[in-house]
Amino acid sequence: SRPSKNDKRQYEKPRLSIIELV
Amino acid sequence: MYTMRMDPTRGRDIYRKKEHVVVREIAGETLLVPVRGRLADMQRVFTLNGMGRYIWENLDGQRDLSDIADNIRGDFETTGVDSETDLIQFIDDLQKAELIEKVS
Repeated sequence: SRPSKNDKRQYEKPRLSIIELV
Repeated sequence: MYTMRMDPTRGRDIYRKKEHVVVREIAGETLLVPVRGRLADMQRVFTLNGMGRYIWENLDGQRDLSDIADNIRGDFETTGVDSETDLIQFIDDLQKAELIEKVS
């Protein structure tokens, strides 16, 4: 059920951002 | 068929989300808020981009990192990028932030 090459989504580097609320 | 390319020393690692983390979608952003007891720890909140959200949803305490890497290669165009290294760095960031814990 994997998408074909043309149907694959654009990859982006996974990112965790920290928001300091002090 | 999807071959396993993950570093074998990390590929079998399994992680799960910590129970005290609440996830909310706000204006297209995924917000993670640590909650202890009935109070949110509002000194720090976290946001994930789309790829981070995808990996977060895969951290179910059953799939290991090789499985997640396979899912990424299956669903995203990863030609020319080192998605395994990105995955491990992201997992390490989540662990440092105490948002996930290692199961095995």
